[in-house]
Amino acid sequence: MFKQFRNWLANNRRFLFSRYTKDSQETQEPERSLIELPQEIRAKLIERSEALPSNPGDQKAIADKLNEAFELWRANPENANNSIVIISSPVTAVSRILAETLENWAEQKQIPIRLMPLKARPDHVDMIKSKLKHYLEPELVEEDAETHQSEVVVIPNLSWCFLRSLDGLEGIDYLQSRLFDSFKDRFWIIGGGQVGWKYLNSVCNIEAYCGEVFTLPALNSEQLQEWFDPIVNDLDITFDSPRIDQKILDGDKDNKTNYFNRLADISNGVSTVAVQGFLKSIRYQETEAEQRLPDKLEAYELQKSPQKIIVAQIPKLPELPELEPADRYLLYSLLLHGDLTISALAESLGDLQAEVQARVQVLRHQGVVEQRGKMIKINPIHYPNIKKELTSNNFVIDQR
Amino acid sequence: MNYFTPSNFYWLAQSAGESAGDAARETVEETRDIVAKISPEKIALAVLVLLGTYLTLKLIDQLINWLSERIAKEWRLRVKQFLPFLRMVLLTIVTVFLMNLFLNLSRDNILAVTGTVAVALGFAFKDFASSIIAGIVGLFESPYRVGDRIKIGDHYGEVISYGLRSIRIQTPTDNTVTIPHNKIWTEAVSNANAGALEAQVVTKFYFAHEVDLDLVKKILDRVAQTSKYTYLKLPIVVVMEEKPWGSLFRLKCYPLDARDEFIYMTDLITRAKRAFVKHNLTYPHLFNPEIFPETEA
Repeated sequence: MFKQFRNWLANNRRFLFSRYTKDSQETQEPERSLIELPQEIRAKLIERSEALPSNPGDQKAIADKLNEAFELWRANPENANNSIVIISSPVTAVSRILAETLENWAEQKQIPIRLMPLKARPDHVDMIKSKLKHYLEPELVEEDAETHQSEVVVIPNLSWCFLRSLDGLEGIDYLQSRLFDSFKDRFWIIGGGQVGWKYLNSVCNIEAYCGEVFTLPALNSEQLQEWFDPIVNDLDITFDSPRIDQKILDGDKDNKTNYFNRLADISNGVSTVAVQGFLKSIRYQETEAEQRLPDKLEAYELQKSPQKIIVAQIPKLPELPELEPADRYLLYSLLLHGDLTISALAESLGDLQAEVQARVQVLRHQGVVEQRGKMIKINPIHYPNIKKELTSNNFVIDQR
Repeated sequence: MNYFTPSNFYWLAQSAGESAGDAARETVEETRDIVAKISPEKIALAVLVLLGTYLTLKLIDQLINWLSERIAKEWRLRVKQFLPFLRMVLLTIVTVFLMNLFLNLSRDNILAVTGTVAVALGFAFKDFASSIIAGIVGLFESPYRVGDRIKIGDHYGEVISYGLRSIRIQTPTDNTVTIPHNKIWTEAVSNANAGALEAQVVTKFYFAHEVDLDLVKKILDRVAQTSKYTYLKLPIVVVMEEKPWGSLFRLKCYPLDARDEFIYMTDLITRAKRAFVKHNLTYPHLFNPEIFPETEA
């Protein structure tokens, strides 16, 4: 009870304190003025964070669940579930986590794997079904029952197999028929996003065709700390001390632990949000005699002259800009599909491409969405707030 | 023994007439007393109170409307529905204050004034009083609340304000219609969402008899399932009816926000018609003389 209250207080501290300030953005304590990172260090930091492997915590959780479901099916292919669905947050690249996890797993199990070679949603919605058919249709070769071998089929991201449009669900219809037909000779591993899964469940009842559904658990502060350690050590990052109110709430913990507790808290344990929160919190600071930091005490003693150090400030999520109703529909569509091209986004919304493009442009300038090549996706740092905003506006989003 | 002699009747009638006359004289005197106590200071105070009440009501209206449009949709109607209660509480307080100021609310004064007011209201403000009473009953019975989409008589729209005497609804053509509360005594009130954010939208589609029914049903289902406005937690239903001129399909589903009703319907029709064209689905032959020879005549 007390812990719940403490968490609530920690999460709503900003709102509670903002009642007594003229500006809701104004913080109670003045933050130390830290300078932006130089371009080369920022680039290095981004490069290192992008090169991070998927979180070992996620990989382990998937591998454990996969072993369990697969062995059950192998022991009893007639009656056991022949599939497992791995659900992640819509801003997590579930296909990458799956690919990295399955590399070792396939070798261990000594079973052929048919990985669907989709790296994105086909350009035209009519092609989704034909592509799935092409990859999943059994080869028309007369096979002897004795030589027939089971296989594992991997659909790295279910979001690439549908688009919310009239013809965009045909791929899912086809997939359901394949799941129904091939329960004995195929074990299916399917990755997907939470919002997309919830939607497909509402409209196609897809869960009825699948076996176990496993949602990636939220990463805790220890897992995040372990994951970021190579970058922290490499760039010699120091952790800022938390504000006094945070210190009181969190107890007597060192700065690093406090930092990762807060990071896990604001990111809801989602790795991509944590990466963005981490990157946003990094600053440059000039150390002086009276400003020395406990963690750098030894270095300070050795080198008395002022120097610049990289400091990780207490992480926080940026405020979500005020959204128009049309923006909410657009953001929901992005959460539903993970990533989309402008034309696919327009089709999913049932709007004209020019209208959608204009809204995307505004949201991109505000930093709510980001564009990589032709793909538009939600900026992960805004994901927790967008989720809250959409949930409170009647959108159907899984709260897990 | 007969007690009802003509002399007894006369005595009874005379004494009844005298007591009625006494009561009327007493009431007139009490009323005169009350009127005599009205001073310019009291009038000034009353005017100030009325002005303050008017401003407070306007402020409450603005504040509640502003707040309800700013917060999460799920709270919008709840906040809006709080407005009539606030108004009623404020108006009751002010009425009691003013009555106390001018009428010195003792038991006798209340009795004296109530009779006079009742007669006045009975004749001059019958409909007004009926509307106010209906408004108070409506607060508890809730045939409509602020934010609901209702139909009374020929008027359909969203309830945007709940006053002491009447409600105001905003129609799809953006007109504001004022309807007195006393309509609830005599007219049927059709409420589409009854306090909820979602309201069912029924969209009609017309086809020829020979149309592929399963295909139409599948298209209509998909159209609703893939609309960005659809609230998927509530059911999507397609119902069909046979008519002499063809088949009538009704697609029943709910938008995320009842306010999107018409834009939602447009979205459903637009996307459905695209699919009908793609699949060459035939519309009813309403003006085909072979089917309806009398039409030609």
